[in-house]
This record gives sequence, structure tokens and C-alpha cells, in this order.
Amino acid sequence: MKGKRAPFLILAGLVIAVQLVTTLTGTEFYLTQLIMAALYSIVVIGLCLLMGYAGQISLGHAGFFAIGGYTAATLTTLNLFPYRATFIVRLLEKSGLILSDTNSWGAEILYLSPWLSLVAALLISGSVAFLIGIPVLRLKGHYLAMATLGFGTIVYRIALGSAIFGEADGISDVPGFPLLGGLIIDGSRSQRVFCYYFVWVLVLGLLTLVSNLVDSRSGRALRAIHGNEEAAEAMGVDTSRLKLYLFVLSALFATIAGVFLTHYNGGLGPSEAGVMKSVRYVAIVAVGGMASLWGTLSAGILLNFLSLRGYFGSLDDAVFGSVLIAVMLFAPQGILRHFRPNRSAEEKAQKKKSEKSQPQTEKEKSHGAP
Amino acid sequence: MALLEVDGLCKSFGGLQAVNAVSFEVPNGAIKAVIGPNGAGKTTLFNLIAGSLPADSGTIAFDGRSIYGTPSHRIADLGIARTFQNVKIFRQMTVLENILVGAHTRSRGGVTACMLRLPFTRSEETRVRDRAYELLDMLDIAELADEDASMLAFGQQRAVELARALALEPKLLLLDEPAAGLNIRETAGLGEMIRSIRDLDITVLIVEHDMSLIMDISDEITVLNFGSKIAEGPPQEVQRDPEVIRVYLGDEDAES
Amino acid sequence: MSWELIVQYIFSGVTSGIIYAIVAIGFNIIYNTTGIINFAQGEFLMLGGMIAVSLAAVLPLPLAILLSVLITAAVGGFVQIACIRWLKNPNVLQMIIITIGLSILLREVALHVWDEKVRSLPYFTGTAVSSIKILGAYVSPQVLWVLGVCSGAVLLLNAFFGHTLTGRAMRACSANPLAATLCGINEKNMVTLSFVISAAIGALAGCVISPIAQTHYECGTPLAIKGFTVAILGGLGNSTGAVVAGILLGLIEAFSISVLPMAYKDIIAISILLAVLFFRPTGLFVRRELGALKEF
Repeated sequence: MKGKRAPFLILAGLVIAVQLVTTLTGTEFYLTQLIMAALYSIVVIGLCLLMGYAGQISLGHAGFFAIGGYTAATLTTLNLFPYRATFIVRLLEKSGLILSDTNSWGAEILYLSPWLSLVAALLISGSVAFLIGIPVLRLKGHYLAMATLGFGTIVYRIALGSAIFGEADGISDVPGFPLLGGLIIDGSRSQRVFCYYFVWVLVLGLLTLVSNLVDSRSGRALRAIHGNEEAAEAMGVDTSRLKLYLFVLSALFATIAGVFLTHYNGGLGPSEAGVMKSVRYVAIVAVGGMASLWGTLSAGILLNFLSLRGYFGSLDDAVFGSVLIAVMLFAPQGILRHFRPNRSAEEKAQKKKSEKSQPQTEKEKSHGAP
Repeated sequence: MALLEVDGLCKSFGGLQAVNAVSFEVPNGAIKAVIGPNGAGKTTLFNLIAGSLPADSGTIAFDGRSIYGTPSHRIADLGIARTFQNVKIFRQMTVLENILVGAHTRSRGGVTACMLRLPFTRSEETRVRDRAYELLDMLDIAELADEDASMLAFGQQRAVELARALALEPKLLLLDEPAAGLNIRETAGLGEMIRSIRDLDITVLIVEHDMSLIMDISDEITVLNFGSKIAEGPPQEVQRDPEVIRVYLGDEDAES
Repeated sequence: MSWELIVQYIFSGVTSGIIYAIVAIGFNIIYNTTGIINFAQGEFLMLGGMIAVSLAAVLPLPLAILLSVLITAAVGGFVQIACIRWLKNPNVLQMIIITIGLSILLREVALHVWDEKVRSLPYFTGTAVSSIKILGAYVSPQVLWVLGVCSGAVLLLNAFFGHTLTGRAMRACSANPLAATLCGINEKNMVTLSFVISAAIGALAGCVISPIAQTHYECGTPLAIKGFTVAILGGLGNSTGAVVAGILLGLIEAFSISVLPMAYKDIIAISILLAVLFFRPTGLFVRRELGALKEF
């Protein structure tokens, strides 16, 4: 397993190096986009697990991101000051679950602790994923794609059309997420370096979990579903249950990203739930190589960073659309596969295959006929 | 009490009666064959027993308990493993990984435990890997362990599928036309392999067209035609059964 | 609810419904020939409307519409040739992603060629305020144009697929591509043709609905989702079913305004889509067992 540790260490090294460089050269503002890109990448890692390993496409994952973000935003911007005299508010305040602050007009406010809203967001998102997942995962191909697209669109419409969610303006003035000892996840400059490290620790942690999963018994069962679902069932894999598990897990990843990004940015808008966001996530997974965690992470960081820094200008969506098409046409296994120096056994065998004559493939096809 | 007892099993697709009130038993430790012309309903029968198709009516009992209506992953857990007529290898996984999936129900470790790499998952992993290597040796494909399974030749994929089924540590092994595409020498080797599988205390039910294999290794043969059982008995008896001869060779030969 | 209001809703519902049906038929034509679901279908309507609006500034309206239909049809064919035709054995996931990418690209191209402003064609007859009294309600003449043009298109298509050699050839491709090729039908051309025809009727629908619903670069996607809902509801590949399902959806949406806030109107279509996918993916009109069979 030694080979597995290397990428993690390299990544950790890069993360630290980048931070030091930006601090020394006075370009710490780059960290802001890197923080956001890293959080968006959490969504993609979860999606990679679902699409690349379990083989289930989802065009609605932005919906889960938004559920996380909006739950956090709504709960923490609820001013409980008018209720400060009630028993439950005083109880929660004592136990640290309600925090106090002064808002931009100098008035005192009481709001629910972001820890509480995080738990709420995970519970809500997990439940929705569970309930939606049961019928949705019975579908395949186009139907699955459309159903997930439909789900994402419903979330978008609810966010866009409801007053409680701020309609088109979304929710703003979301407080930071307090961690231990005065450290807070928010957009302020003083916390930036801390946020940067926190986010990357989070990414590395989640990546470790997912990486562990892939090479394990459950991970193999998952890949077996993608490899041949009927055979997986015949070997004792409870495919519906496993697919659902994965769907909920990937939804929770997206939720976590949504919560922290909302606290970092101090708010969010309905576009976070939109189809374009979902499509971007899919595009990144496709570019990174459907079943490659590191590829997906790299693609996610790169593309999001460039997009957030505005390098794509007004062609932002067009870039992602073109990327999608290009990858599917020319490198359906993902671009980075072509650049990996030590090719896997699969690719060696693939090369051998393509060097054999055509008739071989015809024979394979005819063997598939009953 | 036989290991597998099937009674009055029926399955129809629209107007076509694929399996028509079929009843038979597979005694513990036997090698039993199901034969019949194309379209006789053999693979459908397998699918019904393995749980991948729901039966219309009848009973199926395995090891004394009913498995009628039980989902296929549960049936696998109970100890029935199968191979497929057109090999269903797990794509984008190595040979070793394919076999390890076979051991899925014989090992523990759910998604959360695996993500956290809890200690027990590591010992489980070692255990199933050792077992998988044993099976690779037994089927003589040890050198293919890290190859992409979907890139192998058909015969090799067959061997992988067999190893995968054995990894499940089944009580009953369903083999669906394992000799298709094999030459005489390979078929004989397959016969030997099936015998050694029986020696491992695994009962075998095999669907096959290759008569030499069937005559050689089966204890008992069941003959199906158009979904119904038309003969059953030891190979020599079935070979001489006039109905069987008529079905396979035509009326004139039966009369002679 | 007064009788007048009911008739009003009915006309509104049938009008949007038949547009959804046209989108669905566009899906069906391509699906029937190739098994692909073209996620970019809505963009054909959008392009038809946008191009016509630009042309209408310099050409007489009928000519502008005709040219727009031809241009969009060409775009449909071009897109298929450039991105899909040369692919060998693409899998379902690839096709889904490619057509989604195409949808995005077409949308972005529209945004950059034109701009994000909303535009519309002039009313074919009369003005925005003229109305005809039918069954007690006041209805815009454009509504009659929509119903007339779309019904005409559906009938023409039925005639084409049922009675012309080319149309039959396309149906042969859907039933069995290999056999069709063996009969001398150029399957690849048939596939391209299916895109061309889908784009053409999409463009026509986009033009005819433009005065009422306005056209802007983003108007394609919600239409595609609703069109897909209708296609599935009516049975994928079944165009008579699509018409019935389309009108049904249109009516449900129209009457829903009386109980739900406008902002949630789109949610109805999606909820129906999800309901159909979960409970009856073969659609309303097909028995489960026959679901595998396709019929135009």
C-alpha cells in the first residue's frame, strides 16, 4: 500500500508550498479561489464515486449542494433575538448552541450555531437523498439522467421561487462557522490562511476515506455493480442497497461543501442549484477520468480555479460545455489517463487488443448473443 | 432430503410457456445435468433457481428452506453460486478483483467500516486474498491475476468466472453451458475440474449440450423439451429413452 | 371559476401543450432512428425563434420563418455530423453527456451572437391585443396559428413516416439497423436526416410560439425538460401518445395557476416527470410488457 501514500504526501506538500509562496510574494488573494475550488472539489469527489465507480450518472448534484447551503444560510440568519426570553432559547444559548453577535446596524442578534445547522443540513440532505434515491436508482441510462436533472431543477425552482430563500437574490449576511479557539470559517482576510488549511485537511480526509473504500470489499462490490450488475447480484451483492448508500454518501459530500462554502462566502444564490452547476460537476468528473479520484481532484481544482478567477470570462459555461463534448468524443476515459506514465494493466491489454485484427471483436460480439 | 428440491415450477413469458411444471431433485453431493434441445427452457430454469427471474408458480427449496421469491443476492448468500452462459465478467476490474467479489458474502465489512479501514477489515482482506490465490492456482490461471478480466480470451474468462463462483464457498454450483466453445482436450479437463469440485463437497447442477461431458461425469440427467421434463435418470437409461431419442434425432430414428 | 376563465385556461393549456408535444415528437424522431435522447432538442426551438427574429427585420415574415427553419435544420444536421456521426459504438452515458454539452454550447453561442435580451416575432396576424371570441373566451389569433401549424406538422410527419420511402427507411433503421443496412438503406444518412427533421420542426414550433411566449437564449432548456416529460408520458417513440400527453400536461399546468403560485408552475411538469419515471416509465399508453417495442 506504499504507493497509495505518495499522492497524499505530494498533495500535502503542494498545499503547503502554495500557501508559503503566496504569503511570501504577497499574492495571498489567490488562496481565496483555491479555498473555493477545493470546496467545490469535495462535490466532485463524491460524484466521482457515484459516477465512476458505481456507474450512476447524476445531473442534479448541485441540488444537494444547495440543500446544504440554504439550510445553513436559513438557519443561521434566523434572528432569534425577539425570542430571547423563552426557555428553549435560553437553554440553547447556555449550551452554546445559540450564539450572539451584532449585525451591521449595531443591533444585537441571536442566531443558531452553525454546528447545529450543519447537522440539520446533513440530516435533511441525507433524508432527501435516501427518499429520492430509492425510486431513482431503479432507473438506468437516460431515465436516470433525466430524473436527477429533474430533481436538481426542482431544488433550483424552490430556491428561486420562495421568499424564505430570498428568491433570486438568495441569502446573504451568513455568519462564519466557528471552530475551536477563535478560528472561524468566514471570508475575512485574517482567517484566510487558516481557512485554506482547514479546507485542504477536509479534502485530504475525505479523499482518504474514499480511497480506502475503493480498494476494499465494499469498494469492489461497488465497482462490480458498474462492471456487471446482474453478476454482482448473483455473487451476493445487494446492489440496490449499495447504490443507495453511495448515492446518499455522495449527496452528503455535496452538502458539506455547500455548508462550508456558504459560510465562507457569507451567503449563496439559487444559481448554486442550477443545471449548469450540476453539468460542471459532471464535466469535471469526465475530464478527470470517470474512475480516477486524483484525476477528478486535479481537474476540479484547475477548472474551478480558472473559472473563479475569471479566466474564462463570459465564456465560462461555453468552456465547460465544450470540455464535456471534447472529453466524450476524444477521451471518454478522461484526459489524464493518457498522460499517466505508468500505465495500468488494463491499458497495456487495451494496446494489445487494438493491435490484434478486427475479427477478434466481431467474435466477442457474437459471443454475447444468446 | 435433497439439497435442491424443485416442484411444479412454472414460468411463462407472455404466451410462451418457458418452464412447464418442472419437478426434480438434486441430491447432496451429486453431479446432475439438465439437457435438452435449444429453447427447452434450461437457462430459464437456472435463472429461476438462482433468483434472477421470478417464477410464476411452484416451489423451490434449498437445504430445506423455501427460496421461492427470494432475491438473487440472498440466494447467493445462502450458498448457491452460478456461472453464466455468456460469461458475465466484471469489466474494468482485474481477475483477482473479480474473484474477490465472489467472496463478498463470505467476508465482512460495510461501506463505513471500509472507509475507516477498521482493523477487522484488514484481516478479512488478507483472508479472502489468500483464498483467491488458492483458487487461481486451482484453476491454473495464477499468472493472470492482475490482468483486466474483460480483455482475456473467452476460455480464460470462463475459468475466472468459475473461480469467482467457487470463492463464494457454495453448497450448490450452477454451471451454465461450461463446455461451450471448448475442444475435446479442454472439455476433458473441465470434466476433471468438475469432479474435483464435487470432492470439495460442492453439489453441481450443470446445463450442457456437450454429450460426451454429460455422459462422462453426471450421476443423473434430467431432460427438458419445450419447458417440460420428458425423462430423468442415470446417463445410460436416458441415452436409451425413446422419447429422448425422438426429441433429439427425430421420429424415424426412435422407431428403429 | 367562470366558464370564460375555463375556456381561457383550456386554450392556454392546449397551446403550450401542443408545443410540448412538438418537442416530444422531435425527441421521438431521433430516438426512433438512433436510440439517442437529444438533450439539445429545446435549443432547436430557441434557434428557430432567434434566427427568425433577426431575419424578420429585413425580410417579410413568411420568408424569415422559412429561412430560419432551413438554417436551423442545417444546424441540426451539422451538429450531428460534427459530433455524433463518426462515433463508433458510443455508450449511453457518452451520448447523454455529448448532447448536454451541445445544448450548453448552442445556448452560449446564442448568447454571444445575440444577447440575453428577450425578443419575439411579430404576431402573424393582428397584434398583441387583437383577439377572437371563441366559445365565450377571448383568444389571440396567434393561438390558432400555433394549433394549426403544429397540427399540420404532426399530420405531415405521420404521412411522411407512414407513406414515403424515406420515412419508411427511417423507421426501418430504428427497428433493426443491421437489417436496414442490408436492404441498402444508408443508416448514417438516415440518422443525420432524423436530426435535420427534428431541428426543422423544432424551429417551426419555436417561430410560431415566439409572439406568445417570447424567445431568449435560455428558453430551450425548460422546453426540453417538459418535452421529455411528455415524450415519456406518451410512451417514448409514440408520437400520437406525445400529442395526447402534451395536451394533458399543458392543461394541468394551465389550471394549476389557479391553485399554485406562478413561480412553482415548472415544478408541476418535473413532478409529473419524476412520477412517470418512478411508476410508469413506459408511459400511459403502453402495457408494461410491450414497453420494449417502439412505434412512431
